[in-house]
Parts: sequence; C-alpha cells; structure tokens
Amino acid sequence: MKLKAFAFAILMLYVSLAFAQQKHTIQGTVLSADSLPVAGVNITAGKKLSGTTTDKSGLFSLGFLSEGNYVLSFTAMGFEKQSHTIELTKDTLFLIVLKPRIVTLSEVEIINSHHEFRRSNDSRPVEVVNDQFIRMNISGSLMQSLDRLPGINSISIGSGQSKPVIRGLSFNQVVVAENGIKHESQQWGADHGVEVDQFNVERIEVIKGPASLMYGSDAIAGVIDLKQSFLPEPRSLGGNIDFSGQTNNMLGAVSAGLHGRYEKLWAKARITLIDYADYSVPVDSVEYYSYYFKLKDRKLRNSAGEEKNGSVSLGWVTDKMSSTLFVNNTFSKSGFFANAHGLEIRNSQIDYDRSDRDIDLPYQQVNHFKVHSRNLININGLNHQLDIAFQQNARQEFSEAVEHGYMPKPPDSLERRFDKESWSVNYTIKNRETSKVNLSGGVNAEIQQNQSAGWGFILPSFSRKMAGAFLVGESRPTTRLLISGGLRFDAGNIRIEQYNDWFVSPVSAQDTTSVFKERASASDLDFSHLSWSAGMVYKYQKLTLKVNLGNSFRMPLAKELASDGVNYHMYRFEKGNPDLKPETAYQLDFGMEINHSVWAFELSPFAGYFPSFIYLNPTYQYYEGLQVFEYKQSKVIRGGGEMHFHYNLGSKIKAGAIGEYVWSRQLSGEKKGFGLPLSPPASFLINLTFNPGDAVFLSDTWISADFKLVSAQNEIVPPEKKTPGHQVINLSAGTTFKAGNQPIILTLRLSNLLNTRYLNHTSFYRLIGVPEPGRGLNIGIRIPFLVKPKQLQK
Amino acid sequence: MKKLTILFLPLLLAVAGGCSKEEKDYVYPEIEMDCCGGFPVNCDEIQRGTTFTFIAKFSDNAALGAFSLDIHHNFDHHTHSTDPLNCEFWPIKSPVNPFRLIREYEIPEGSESYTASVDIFIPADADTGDYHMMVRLTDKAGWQTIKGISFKVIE
Repeated sequence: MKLKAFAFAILMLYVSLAFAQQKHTIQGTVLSADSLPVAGVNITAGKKLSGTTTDKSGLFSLGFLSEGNYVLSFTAMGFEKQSHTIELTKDTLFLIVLKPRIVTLSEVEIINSHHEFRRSNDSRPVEVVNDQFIRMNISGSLMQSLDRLPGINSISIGSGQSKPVIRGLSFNQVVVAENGIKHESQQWGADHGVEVDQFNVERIEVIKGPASLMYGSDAIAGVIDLKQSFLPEPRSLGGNIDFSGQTNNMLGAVSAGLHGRYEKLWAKARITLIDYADYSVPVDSVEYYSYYFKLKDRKLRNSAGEEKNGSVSLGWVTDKMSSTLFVNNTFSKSGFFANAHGLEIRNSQIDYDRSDRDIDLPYQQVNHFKVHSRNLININGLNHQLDIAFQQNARQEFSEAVEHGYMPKPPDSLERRFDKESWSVNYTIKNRETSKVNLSGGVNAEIQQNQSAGWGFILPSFSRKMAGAFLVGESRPTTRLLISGGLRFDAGNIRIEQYNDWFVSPVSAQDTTSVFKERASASDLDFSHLSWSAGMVYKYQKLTLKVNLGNSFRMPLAKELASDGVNYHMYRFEKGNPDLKPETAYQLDFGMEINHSVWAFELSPFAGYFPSFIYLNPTYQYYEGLQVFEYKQSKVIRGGGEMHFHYNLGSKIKAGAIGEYVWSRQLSGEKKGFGLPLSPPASFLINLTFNPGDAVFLSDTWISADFKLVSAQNEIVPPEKKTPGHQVINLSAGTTFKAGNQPIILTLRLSNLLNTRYLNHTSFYRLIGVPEPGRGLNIGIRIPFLVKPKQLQK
Repeated sequence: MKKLTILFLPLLLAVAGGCSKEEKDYVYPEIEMDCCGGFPVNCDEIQRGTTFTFIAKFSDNAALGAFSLDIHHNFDHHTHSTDPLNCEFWPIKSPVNPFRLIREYEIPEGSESYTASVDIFIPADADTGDYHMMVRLTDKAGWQTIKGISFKVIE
C-alpha cells in the first residue's frame, strides 16, 4: 500500500478536441495515487482569479479562456501542489494524479490522505510527520525537533543530544526504530542521546501507546519509527543539498543527498556534517549550591560538538517484490558542561574559555553503524517480509582522571566504554488486503552483546537474547467500524558478567581489609511475557472515535538487575535488584477527532496502570559516603492526554492550539504518594500561521508564531527540584523562490524570541540550574534538484 | 470483561484516592555549619596529629535520614567548595600520604533536628595541604543536601 502510494506517477494526457473557436475549455479528472477521485481540488489558471474546484467524481472544467500560455495549479488538502504550464490553442482534457502530502494536525495544517489512512487504521493515538515538519521545527537534535508534537517531549543534553519522552516516559520505555528495526543505542544513561541523522529522516510515525505487539520489549510508552520511505521515480536522478546555520551555538551544517532510479534498481546516498560551538544562555552565571559559575560571554562552557553521518540505500523493486539494503553510520562527539558534569562541582586546570568551539574533557563520543536488509515479496496474494539487521554502537565517555573515594587516580581519561553489537531478524506474513479479516503474523529474534570498559563503572558486560511471536488481526464489519487486536509472546534471557573494582577499598568501616569489591555478580536470568492489545475505530462522517486497551512490557536492564556501584556522573551509589520482574503496563486510550472543513478538533485521553514499574528509589541511606539509590518495583498509575484544535480564519490565516498533560502516582513502595521522575509539566501552545499565497517568484510561503505556556512542575521526586512555569515565543517562516529554474527552499526559525530565561524540567542540566538556550536564529536552505523522468519531458 | 474491570479497579480507586489531600514531603533537609560552634568552616586550618570534632546542625521539616562525611585532598584543586567564598590555595602538588575519610553516620529515628558531633583524628604522617570536606545529609524521604568546604591540614 505504501509502495503504491509513494510510487506515484504524474500522468498528463493531452486529448485534443477538434473544435475551432476563439475561447477554449480545460476539462479533466483529478485522481489520488490509489486511483480514487479527489473532490475539492482548487484549480487556478494563471493569474485568473476565477478558478474552480473538482466535484465528487474528481471532475473539473474551466471555460472561456483565451488562447495563450497558462500555468495550471492544482491544490488540495493533503496533496502536494502541482503546476503545469500549457499553451492553450484548443480545448484540452487533463488527467492529474496527485501525490499525497504528509503533514499533520500539529503543523496546524491540513490533514492528508496518508496521515488519515495511518491514523484511522490504528486505534491508538498516532502522529505522522515528514521531513518538512522537521525543517520547520528544526532544533539541535531530532528529538528536540519533535518536541512540538502533542504528548512528545525530549530530555536534552546540551544543544546537540536528546532522547524522546512520550507522555512522560522515556529511556527504555520508548522504542526508537529506523525502518521498523529497533535502534539499539545506549539509551539507559540520562546523558545518552539517540544517534540519528535528522537530515536523513523522510517520515516519522509516532505511536503514543503500548506497542509491544509489533516491537516486543521496551515499547511500553510508544514508538518513534523513523522511515526512509521515499522511492525515486523510474529513470530519474535527483537530490538535494541542505545548508543550516544557527546563531545561538554558531552551528553550521551541510547535508547532501542523491537519489536515482533506473527501472527496478534504485539508490540513495547522503552525507551530513554538523559542527557547533558552546551554546548561549540568557544569564551571566549559573548558581549551584550557593556557588556561582561565571559564564564567559553567557556561553555554557564546553557544550560544543560535532556530527558526521553517512548513509547509502540500495534497492530493487518490482510489482511483486522489493528488496532494500540500508547502510548508515553516524558519529557524534559532544562536550559536557565543564563545571558540573553530573552533580558535583568541578574545577579544572583546562582553560575552557580559550575557545568556544573546541571539545575538552569531559566529553562523549558515539559511533553507530547499521546494516539492514529489508525484503518484501508477494506470493499467491500473501505478503512476506523479512528483515535482517546488524548494529554496532560504540560509545566512549572521557573525563579528567582524578581520584575519587577509594579510587586512585585512573591511568587515562576513558571513563566509560560501551560496545554493543546486536543482530535482529524479523519475519512477517500478511494475507490479502481484500480479505474479510486482515491477518499478520510473525516471529522475531534478537541477540545482543554488550561489553563495558573504562574506569567508571555503571553497567556490567552482558548478553541478551530475545525471541517473540505475534498474531495481529483487523476487520471491518461495517464501513464505519474497524476492529483490531493481537497477541504476542516473548521470551528472553540476560547473562550478566561479574565485575570487580580495579582498585581496592576497605570491606567496611569496621573491617579495613582491602579488597577488589564485587560490583556486579554473575547471573543468568530468564524472562517471558504475554502481551496483547485490542481496539476499535469508529468513523461517522466527520467524527472519528477510537478506543484501545493494551498490555506491554519491557525486560529489566542489566544495570537494574546487577549493578552495585558508584555512578560517577550522578555521585550516587546505585544498587541493582536481581529479583526484578519484567515491567508491565496496561493502558487504555481513547480518541476523538472531528474534522470539519474550517476547523478540526482532537482529544486523546489515556489511563495506565503499571503493576511493576521499575523505579530507582533514592533511599536515605549512605554507602561508601554516597546516597544509595535502589532499584525497586512499585505499582504506578498514570493518566493524561492531549488536546488539539485548529481553525481556519479565512483562507490565509490558521489558528491552532495544542495542549498536553500527564499525571502519575506511585501506589506502593517507599515513594508511595509521589509521582515519577522527569515528568513533563502541563503545556499549552497557541499557533498562528499566515499563508500569503504565491507571489511573483515566491511560493509556499508561510509565517508562523508559536506561543507556548508551560506550567510549573511541583510534582517531583528526589533528587529533582521544583521547576517554575514559563512562556516562550518561537517564530518561523519559509518560502520557496526560484533562481532561474532552480527552486530554493528557505526556512527561518527564531527560537526564544524574547530571550527568556527559563528552566526545562526534563533537561539533563536542569538539576544544576542551567537555563535553556537563549534567543537563536536558525536559517535553513534546501536546494532540491531533479532530472525529470523522460515521459514528462515531451 | 470482568477481568478488565478487575484490572482497572485499582486505577479507579487510586484516581479517587489521588484526589484526597496527601501530605508529601518536598522539603530538602538543611545543613548549618557556621553556627552554634560548627567546625570546621570554610578556609579553617587543622593541625595534623590531633583529633578535631566535626560539629554541624542538621534540620528537616519531617524526619532526618542519615549523613556522610567525605574528606579528601584537593592538592590538584579539582573540587570547589559550595561556599561562595574562595580560600587561598597552596600550590598544586602530588599526594604522598594524603588523609582520607569516607564514613556514613546514623541519625536517631524521627529527628527533626540533630547536632552532629564526630571526632576525627588526622594522623601525624598525613600530607599537609588543601583538603576538601563534603557533608551529605538526607531526610527520610530521600532528599539530599550537600555542603562542601575547603580546609587546610597544617604542621
């Protein structure tokens, strides 16, 4: 279906009607990629104001036009705009096939067919955005760029790293996938971001709800699936070059992509280079524990970084099968704030202020390599899909070698090193889409090998094996109703290696014998879980109602099970718990959507219950001088939801509003009555977008203003601090202009217009009181180029 | 269907329960070092080969938890006290036999305030120079407050 939707073709058919007269008529039909008539398409001919629209059968007619050259424009909700230049000498008949445009409600934009298709086929809340959304909301890293979506937040680590938060849950409760394959990065530490090239993302599907059914362990809160779904047209060669600059951290980025296709063979490639300096905050100093860090030129010392990414995709596509090989490599290196890496104030002999662009200690460096082979084949009406992927994630964290506690001065600056290799194989089979009940079943297996090194211990080496099988079905008993459901069984095994300190310390205060203390004990643990989901979608005219109930899970992590040592970033003693059971969650989702021609409204409340939430509980006890944090399981309930509204004020101005709220409560354990850590506060965003229409040489012009109100977060758990509320204004604008025949897409984004000083509750540096970046202007220039298919060049 | 109701019963109960007013402790405990005979304070000097008494006043709105003391050398000037006042450091040097103390201490159950008094002996052969002392204090709920001071060990 996707292939069909994207392997669009623009067909133009000239049929001359032999009537010789002074005034001519243009008639035609407008179809969607799946050959259905499109109603309500706006058609204009040149500068003539008297346009027309298509009727229910997709037919249109423009009459009484004089001979001459016309530019015919076809615009419709949810489709890419199309323009054709014609020389009108006779009555003409057109057949136009429109390409779906991927936009979302959250852009305060029109809804499109693909988006609608995806949403109305999923009983859970789903958001779909494309690369244009990312360019409009571009931030230092992908998850920050997605922050604007309802129910999505990010935990940012400086200006270039971030990890996603879906409805207040993050870390291993959110799956980030690339083309359906789980992105195996090191997402367990608060300072670990997701390593993806945001210039290489073509479409993003976000599922805000339990998704273990399709993705297995970890998809408790939801999934962010990054897709490279664009298939080049036959006999085409094209590409684009992106330039991006940001004034706040003096970022410079260049990304160049190429795509081409012969008939069945196609290829794509991209290279991205990003370099940024320390980012600026609207304060002269940061206060932490009554000590003021003076900031030079209001810049956050040592927060500079760089990224180097490359990817190649090769594919073979026919009517019956497609085979794709994705290969990509991302590399990033970024500094940590020099004065308080983690929670302790640090002094250093390093002259951090000599340059705001160099990356000194402490810093992190990650290389992620991935090969993924995706194969789809249709045999006797059955669709088979086989995915095989290999990933290697190499993370290194460097900090100054200083002695701490009983640890002597380490020999080098390599504090942590994690090498992770994982293999995954997925096989899915689907029956005919025309069947009464659409069924898909599959199996997947995953093997992981994790090696830890470096002088700072937080995670033992371990290996993990998992396998699962699922069956999902959906049916449409009536045209208005869609019922879906599924079952999945997973079993897994974690084998943890023993780890002993590389230095000696006394057994206890009483027994001063020096020993190499054991920090993780060898263990071999098995887990299994049965997850399920059931839901329905009811559509009646402009109203869509959804309900979904699902159960999902995640396997406990090695550090949750077995660690027993000092976390030198947070300066706390973390104690694992080998008795942990899988973390499970039940979630009930409702959805209501009304799509009117002038306005749209969406409400998606949810309620969830965790019988065994894995919580790192801060105790009052000390061990080796540090506060003990112990992994415990508690009962947790959560609730909340998102609201979305937009209204067209005339044809050129759109107003929109997005609201989000999450609430949680621990029902058992030592923190009974408390909420959960890193809970995003309630927020409300108001947007105004102005589309002035096409001018002489400008098209697709828009100017947009976001006013975001964020409430205070007073529901905190140790070691958090209450975060006051704030208001921010972001402006953005974009246009497409032509330099000769070459279109150039320009995007401007001015974030934090008033240079407001505010704290973000979910930011990594919030604990040490570092405010969010100050005013910054981002300029993006995209130069697309295309050698058009031959049939269009006639 | 019955099963589902059972599953969501705790949820409903909790929502109902969540509305009732609960008193949660969001207050960090406090450390006072420069009062009531507190010792040492920032930039103090202590003679080696002697025993000094660490004195500080702890308080909390509900109940104190425990505290720990961490004394380590700062010959390389790597740490900074949480005190806004800078002490004058001696030149950077390499440790030979630095004094070190890492120890946790209990506070009587249910105390809202407590005056810590701990005797600490600095051996006569310990390196003289800049030292750093971290005082960490928790309350029963798990909130932690840290105070760090610089002091010198002298002949």
